[in-house]
Amino acid sequence: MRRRLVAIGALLLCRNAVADTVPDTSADYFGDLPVVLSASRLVQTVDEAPAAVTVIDRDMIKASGVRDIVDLFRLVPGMVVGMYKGHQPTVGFHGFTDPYFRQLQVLIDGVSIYSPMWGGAEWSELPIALEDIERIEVVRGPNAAAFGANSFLGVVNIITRDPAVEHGLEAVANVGENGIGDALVRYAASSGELRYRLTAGQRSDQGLDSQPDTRRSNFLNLRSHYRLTAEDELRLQAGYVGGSQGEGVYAVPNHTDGPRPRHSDAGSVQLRWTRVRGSDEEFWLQLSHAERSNRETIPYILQLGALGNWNYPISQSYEYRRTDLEMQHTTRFGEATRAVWGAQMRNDGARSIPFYASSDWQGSSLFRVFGNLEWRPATQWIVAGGAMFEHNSITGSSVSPSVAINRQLLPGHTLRLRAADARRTPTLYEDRINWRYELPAGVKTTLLAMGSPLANLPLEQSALTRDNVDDERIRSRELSYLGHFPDQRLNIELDLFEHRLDNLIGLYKYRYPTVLGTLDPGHYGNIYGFNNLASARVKGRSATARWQPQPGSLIYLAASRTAIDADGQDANLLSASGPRHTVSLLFSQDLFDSWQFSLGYYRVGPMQPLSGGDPLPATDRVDLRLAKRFKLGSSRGEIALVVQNATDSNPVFELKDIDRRTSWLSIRYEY
Amino acid sequence: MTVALQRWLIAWLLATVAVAGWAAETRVLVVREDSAIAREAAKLLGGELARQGWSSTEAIVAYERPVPDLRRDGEQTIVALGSRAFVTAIRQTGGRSVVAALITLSGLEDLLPIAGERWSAIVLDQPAERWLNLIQTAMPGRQPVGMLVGPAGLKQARAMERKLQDRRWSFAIESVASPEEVVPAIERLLPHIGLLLALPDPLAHNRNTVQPLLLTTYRAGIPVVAYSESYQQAGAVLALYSTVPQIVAQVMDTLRQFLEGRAPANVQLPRYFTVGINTAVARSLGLKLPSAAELAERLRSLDQ
Repeated sequence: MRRRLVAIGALLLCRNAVADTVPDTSADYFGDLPVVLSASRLVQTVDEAPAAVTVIDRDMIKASGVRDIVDLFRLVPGMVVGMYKGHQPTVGFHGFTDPYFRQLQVLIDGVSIYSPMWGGAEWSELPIALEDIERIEVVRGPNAAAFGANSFLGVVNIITRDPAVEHGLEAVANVGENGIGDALVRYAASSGELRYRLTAGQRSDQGLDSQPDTRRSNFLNLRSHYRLTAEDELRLQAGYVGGSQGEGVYAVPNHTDGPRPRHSDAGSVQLRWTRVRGSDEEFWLQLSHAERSNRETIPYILQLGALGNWNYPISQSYEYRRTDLEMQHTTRFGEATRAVWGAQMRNDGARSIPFYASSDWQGSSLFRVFGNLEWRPATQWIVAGGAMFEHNSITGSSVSPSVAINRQLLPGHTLRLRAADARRTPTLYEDRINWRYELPAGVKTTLLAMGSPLANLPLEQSALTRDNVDDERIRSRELSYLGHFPDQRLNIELDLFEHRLDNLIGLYKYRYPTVLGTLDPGHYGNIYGFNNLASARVKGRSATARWQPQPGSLIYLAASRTAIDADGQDANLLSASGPRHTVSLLFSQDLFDSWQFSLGYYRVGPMQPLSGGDPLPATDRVDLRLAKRFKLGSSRGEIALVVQNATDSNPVFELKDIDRRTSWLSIRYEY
Repeated sequence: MTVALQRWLIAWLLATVAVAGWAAETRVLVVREDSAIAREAAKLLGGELARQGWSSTEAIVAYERPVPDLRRDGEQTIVALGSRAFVTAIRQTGGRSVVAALITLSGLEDLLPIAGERWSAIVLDQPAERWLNLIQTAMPGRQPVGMLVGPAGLKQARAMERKLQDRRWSFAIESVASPEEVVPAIERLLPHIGLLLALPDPLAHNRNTVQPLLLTTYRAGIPVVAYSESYQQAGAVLALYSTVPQIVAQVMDTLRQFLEGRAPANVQLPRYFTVGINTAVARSLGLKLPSAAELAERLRSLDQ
């Protein structure tokens, strides 16, 4: 009897034990997986895009051999890149080449880095490295409905790599002429629901020979993702960049623009919550904050003759900050219609005693709502329409609509017609600049004692906006042909465009009473103010071809012709501010298993940059790169020799600013 | 009683027993695990059984619950949904009149040999030939075929390897033993493959690994062919799977075979299946695929 009980007991135990160890494998078949390739992740095929886009991918970035992200824009037809000082690039697109090119919206991973004070982006001081970039999408034309105001002449969206596609350690060093010394370390890892990538690096070089523009900056950035559920994910990004750059000009001693260092620090953080329900159903909410501070003082002795000599360090320091909250929802209504809509609130602030004559924060805020609809009424048609409504504290409310029709004529051949309106809001600089310097206290006392009216004047005023500056406006029309030849691995794009630009903001001179203006009217009598002073019509055409004749070969060709016809203040300067033609060529070829050779050729026609540039002749630039890949056990690496400006030395802003041939060695190691 | 009358009596007795047996056997006990899928399958099955006029009862096998006694109502056909339920049913009945579903080949192999004869397990694994037919029909010439497997999927991968060799297709298989090895293994595979075949494996394909897997294959222009609707929505271009209604239909077929006195195979591969296409990813990769319905039809005719 007892034996049987034991036997049954043992059987019961045994049964449960077996039940516990059988793996629940059916869960694999029915488990929930997160949607990875959602609509926002998929690279839209060129023939379905509602606007002309140039995509610069990792292969092109590598082949170009550039050290600075901004140099990649030479590949965009119609875009020119120069240098005001070694570390302040002048960018131009369809004209308006300027060290403070403000007609381009610039985003990193969907967060605008457009400077609230100066407009544009601080190209030499980005917290990301070239190796962090997955691809760059440049929209050649206004796209306010998708990217907000200030997406005026174009949009640059820099998309960084998801840590999911990386692992391990990568180290890169560049060493070369002109004091080039860069170092970079990247580490990516994942553990369960968390994946992250950390990048830290340093860049330094001596800039142009004609300027005291040596720079040295350090940067750090983090991109991390935490998966909460199959649908929800949190993304945290943070970045820091700081360093010093040389400013000023080589000149006689005691010059108001004498050489001095500029120290800067900038930090940013973004937190985004994403919920993806299906490949076309996505929602995200994002909070971001960024700050930048620049400290710059020019040592100077103020010589006022009978009023004496005064130690007067000239400050050009400023700081600015931005806080931004935005959301976006992508959804599908049935087979044929997809919509993206969103809203955004932003607060910008700038503070600078010399530039705003106040120690208060100058603020501006905006609120915007946008919507885009994509409708496919039949297989060969796509109609995309969108609009953005914005209200900002500088110029009030505005609406920017756009519409595009894509018609597939034959498989692989598409025609696109596009019309878009956009606005550019005056920056905090244009809106309320009050750049002035006060009298030294001692001089003021003396003048008051003398009963001189000069006592109540500022020492010097460089600029003062006294008008109500309005938005710049653009109305753009575009006709494109897109050809896709998959068997030949060839893509062709031809564009014709016309922009009508109104209310262009420019500078004008006027008389303003200052102490120095009274003592030396020739030099100091006039000051600058901003106002809407000009209009222009820009017409052009461009062609792009991207061909991969066989694996390991890449040929990219882009060319453009542009004509600017300006009216109003400085019309001649505006009309000459962009070249009539540009040509870009990038050729890359893999050789003998582990070598790679690439060549870039960039031709820019004659033009004259704004804000003090000289008329420049046509320039040809050739960049060469030769690289060898190697393996060391389980790690691998690459050594590359890069020669920029191989054949020539090109003037880049003033004729004396020559960008010489520069070579460096780049070593990359991955573990 | 004459001999003829005796024979008639015996025949009538046998018929009565048979009818009684038949009537007695249209009682089905559905044993299931306590998972959402098993619940859904049991509900659908209950509906189908009711439609046939058969009675059914349910028992649940779960960690926190006491093991149910499946023989309390006497002899009846058992449908076991899930491997834990199947183990319980086998242990208690020795494999008489058990139909199992929602179980995988590897889960089944751990339980063999099973002494009883009247059992049939409908596994979730699609037949290897069907996978290869799908690849051949939808994306011919996209070789080599790549696979990423962990320890759990190794046997299945070996079986697939043999089939690939039979067809003289080139392939590359990377195996991983820990989560940290997954991303490097994918990177090693990518340059050598034209397509990635994802078969279930909890280490190689889970919520965390699909992210790098789909992102890197997408970037390299390599389509992924996968084993579930969820994977297709995540970003796999093609998926081949059997839905719960389709599995239930096969369970019903098997039950009918039992009750007609026929003996279905011990191991059945899925008979009914669905082909899914992620049109957005297919379009983005520049792939021209026939419609899902056409593909499924073609596979059914090739199955013949």
